[in-house]
Amino acid sequence: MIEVKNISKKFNENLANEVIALNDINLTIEQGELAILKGASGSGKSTLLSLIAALSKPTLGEVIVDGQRISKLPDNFSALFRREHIGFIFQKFNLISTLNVYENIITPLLPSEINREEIDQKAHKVMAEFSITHKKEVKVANLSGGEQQRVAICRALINSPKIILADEPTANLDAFLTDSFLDFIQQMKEEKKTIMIATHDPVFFNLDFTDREVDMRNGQII
Amino acid sequence: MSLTTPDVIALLILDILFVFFAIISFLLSIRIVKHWDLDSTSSLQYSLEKQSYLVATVIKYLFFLKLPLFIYFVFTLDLIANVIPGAMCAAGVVNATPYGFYLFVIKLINLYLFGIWLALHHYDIQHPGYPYSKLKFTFFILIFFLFMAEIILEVMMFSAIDPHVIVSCCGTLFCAIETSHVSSFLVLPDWIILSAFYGSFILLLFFYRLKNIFAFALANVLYLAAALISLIAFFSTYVYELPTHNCPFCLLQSDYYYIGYFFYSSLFTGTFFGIGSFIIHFATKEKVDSWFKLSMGFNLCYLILVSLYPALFYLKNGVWL
Repeated sequence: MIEVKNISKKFNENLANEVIALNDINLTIEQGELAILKGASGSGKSTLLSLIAALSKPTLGEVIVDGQRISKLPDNFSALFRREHIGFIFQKFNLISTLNVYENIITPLLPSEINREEIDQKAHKVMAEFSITHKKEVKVANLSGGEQQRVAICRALINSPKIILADEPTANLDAFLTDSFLDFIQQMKEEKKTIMIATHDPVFFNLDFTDREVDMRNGQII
Repeated sequence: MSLTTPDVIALLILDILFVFFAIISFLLSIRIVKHWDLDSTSSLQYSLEKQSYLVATVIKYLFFLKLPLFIYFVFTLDLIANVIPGAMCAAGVVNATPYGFYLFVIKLINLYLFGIWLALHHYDIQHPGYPYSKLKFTFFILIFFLFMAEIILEVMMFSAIDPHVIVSCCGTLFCAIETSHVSSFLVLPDWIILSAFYGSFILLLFFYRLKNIFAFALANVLYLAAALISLIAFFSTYVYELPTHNCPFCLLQSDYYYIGYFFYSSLFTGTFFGIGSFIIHFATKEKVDSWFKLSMGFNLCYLILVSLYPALFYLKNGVWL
């Protein structure tokens, strides 16, 4: 379960150019729930996702995931938490362009104590699931947008996270790949993963398998 | 400033940098200690958590640098002994001003305190809930004053050294005549000094086996005192192969293959882990088994090193000094 309690996030706090990205947000997402965070650019969706993923810290309030106060974790421990519990799919995929598909996918497992054989098995399992095995030796810079997204999804799933967070996942995809992504989300939902998708793409609105749509505007839930 | 060798200038420049960072860390540490409330989700607490990371990093590097700089400080004293009339080694420089002795003592105490702070910091970042943050910043506030005292004394000492004034050499400072600083120890029979030294090591071994943290730390204090006294009064004479030379500083010179650095490094490291094990366990309840082992290892290393000199001398010459 994800609990967001009285969260505010300010950038450039107490400076002339202070920005209030989130303002007193309260939100609870149950285990296995699929929530769509919708709103225009600058409404605070991505900031909220980054706080839930412990990628940044709030200015006020707290984020609790499965009873753990993740907003209070020191950086090294929040990285550990993220590695073990969260699969994050970024809008621009954030792949390492100089590495190949296989190397990108296994990066979350490298700091762990899992042996190389097990890492290899996990990587091949997710690559097969997303039909990218045949490109495993190809540098990601040479892949199409859809292929890059599949690599990003594989990387997010390789550590079998309970929570999947996706930030504008279809922003760089065409209609066909967007449909594929929706299939993937439906599959994850069936596997009882907790999913949060921040998007302003109407394709995610009013889907029959989503549990909730959260509307955001000017850093607040409306 | 009457003595400005490149090494002294380097030390003083570093002192200025240390003072700058230490004062910033001190002020922020006060703020952290005053307002720290880990349960709070206020904006102030989040800002303190960020600051604590920054301040702890600054202090960590400050102390990490100060530890090896102690060796450089001693090395510098030895170097400038060449330009001070009468001084044969660092002992002459230390005694050239009224501040030298106190500076040396405070530097040694600080070495132990900085090490303990670093250990506290190490344990603090091993756990997710900042368990020892308040403690480590409070501790820094306390040792800040000793840190500043050290720097002030260092500047005062280097400022007060006058290369035109003749100072006493170590032969005068560490001799058995009544006016000498350590004369009361030098007149003791060797068997008493050696019994105290080897006896304190047996005591260490005994408490190490018992795993009694407090007694082990206390035994380390005894061992440190006995080791220093026996080094000056007995073992140094075998390093110099001269029964009347008892200087603890000449050991650091190239003539004796810098053996003093090995002596003091192993002794101070060993006793640091021994004394520190109690302080760390008392303050944090962390397991200190590895500290015990490290302490015994370094202390044993020191014992073997110093004992080798009289043993080899006897084997070579068939007599004791």
